[in-house]
Amino acid sequence: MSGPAIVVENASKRYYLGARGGLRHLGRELLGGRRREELWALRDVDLELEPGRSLALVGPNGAGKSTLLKLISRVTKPTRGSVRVDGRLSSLIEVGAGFHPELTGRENVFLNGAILGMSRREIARRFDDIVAFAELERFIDTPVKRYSSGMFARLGFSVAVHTDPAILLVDEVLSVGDARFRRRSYERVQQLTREHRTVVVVSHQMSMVRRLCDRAVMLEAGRVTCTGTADEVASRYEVALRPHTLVEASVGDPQFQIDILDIRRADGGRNLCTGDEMHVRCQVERQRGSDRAVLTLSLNRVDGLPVLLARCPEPLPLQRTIAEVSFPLLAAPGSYYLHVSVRDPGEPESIHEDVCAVVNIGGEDPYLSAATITIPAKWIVT
Amino acid sequence: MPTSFSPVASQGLARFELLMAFVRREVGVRYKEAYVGVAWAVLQPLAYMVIFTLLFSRMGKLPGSGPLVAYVALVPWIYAAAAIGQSSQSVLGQLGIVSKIYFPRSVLPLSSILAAGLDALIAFVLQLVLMLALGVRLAPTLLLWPFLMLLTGAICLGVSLILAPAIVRFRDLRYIIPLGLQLLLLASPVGYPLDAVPRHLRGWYQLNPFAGLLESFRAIALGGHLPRLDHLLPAVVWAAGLMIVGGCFFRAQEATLADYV
Repeated sequence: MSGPAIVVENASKRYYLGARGGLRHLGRELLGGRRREELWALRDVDLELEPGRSLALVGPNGAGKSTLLKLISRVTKPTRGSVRVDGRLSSLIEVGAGFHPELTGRENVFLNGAILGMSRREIARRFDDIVAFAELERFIDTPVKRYSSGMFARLGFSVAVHTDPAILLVDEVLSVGDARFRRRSYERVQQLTREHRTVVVVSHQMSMVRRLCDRAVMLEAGRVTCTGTADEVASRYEVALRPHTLVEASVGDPQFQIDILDIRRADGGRNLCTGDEMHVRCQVERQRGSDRAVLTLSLNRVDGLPVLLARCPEPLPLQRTIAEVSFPLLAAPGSYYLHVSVRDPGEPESIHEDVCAVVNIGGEDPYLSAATITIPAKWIVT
Repeated sequence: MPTSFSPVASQGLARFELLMAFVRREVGVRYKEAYVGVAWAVLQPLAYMVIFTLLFSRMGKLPGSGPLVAYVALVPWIYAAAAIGQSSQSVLGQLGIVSKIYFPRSVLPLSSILAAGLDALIAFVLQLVLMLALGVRLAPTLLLWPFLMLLTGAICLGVSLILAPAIVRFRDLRYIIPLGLQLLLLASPVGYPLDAVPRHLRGWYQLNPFAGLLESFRAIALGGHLPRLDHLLPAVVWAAGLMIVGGCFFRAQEATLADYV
């Protein structure tokens, strides 16, 4: 193999927004008049990756990372520009997408393997490895519709990584299954990068980007804004996000209003790392509304799982106040959503107001990222 | 362990196996968890046969071997209707996979056409059994049956290569296609022989490729003679034209099918 494994030249991708269908649109489309509102998911992207190298795509949500993966995997083609790929490609994008719920695990392994470009003989040869990696020996002859979502994802992941790909695309799938499986899938991808496969990874976890990849590209609003070594780009990305970015101020109960003023370390530093004391300052206002309402804080993983929860013991006073909270940051390195909300105690569904910020917690050890929380443990080594 | 095939050959093999995997999937899924299971593949044409026999023996208008006249044309017709119906929906039905994984998209319509062929094969075996039961001599021209089916399949594939991408963009076609198939049934000599069509309309009538084609199926099974060339010609022309137009259209559309989720 000579020449680059992946070449993206001047690629742009346009999507149309809004729903299709309806007579109104039919008339419009046939007459070629005003088109629907368009969105350029990618604009003039250039990219080249040598065989055996690994590249990370980083950037905020909606930056075009997944669209770029779709172009590279040939799921769709660019509106303008070109994409060339040399070598068998396998993608870990929504693993198990080709599974048919009525078919058994065994039948689906063969079907999915064929969709991913393997011959029947190849699949048969690797079948035992695939099943063993997914740890589904007992359930392999059960229709996958009876699988739990974790089993489903494990089997899908296992087929995809056993296709012997020259090029592997990974889109945040290292977050499927339980922690143990996540670590094993991470190790499997790491092993593939060591075997000099070409790997493209989309990730929000900068620790993973640094460990898995040689190079990285930062995308923002469909454009490449930064290219360099994985470490350089990951650092740039963390700086761009630091200290936090407000995601949304939900308009809830108009009687309550929360503004996050500051998120930083208790000692004043702005870099957050696992184990630091974290300090959140916000402004809260209660006009009337429930007089039992209390302030709560939760740190949620990107998939929505709350990792840390804290509740203020005092109900909110009837005025504008500044609330400050400090707590040991036990969450593992990664990106999180920090929610500050007002709710009635004892009623889980009663949310009067909720605001959210993205928080990036640093930490260099990807082993820690496999956990959800880390604990300040006392070690005695004699 | 390197394979002994050249890259091109092994790629061709992988593509063929992908096609077979989709055929297996379609056939395997069809009767899963139905109590009678695969028996439906036999029961369906059997039921058609009984209905048509009752219907036409009452009307008593058909010359020749009674129920067989209808059944012999019914087998390819049911095949064509099923093949076009399923194949035109094949891309839309698999849009979930199409939007996530790349694979040669043409295996989708093709696998539906082939899967429907399996049912037709079962119906054909049933036809042979029926002919023996009714004491009809099995003519050697019956050996032409696979070739006529191939021609039928080519027409269906050509149509589906156009309809399958079109349906993804214009979902209205989902409701128009079954309607069109019903109309085509009325305009095809399934329930009646071609002779029943008034002579002055027959020129127009034979523009329908199924007119001569179904008549040819009757000729090889019941007449025991070769199909007439003027019966086959429209079907051959249609098949070639549709395959070329459909092939080009599908090629132009396949790269962006995933955008129409």
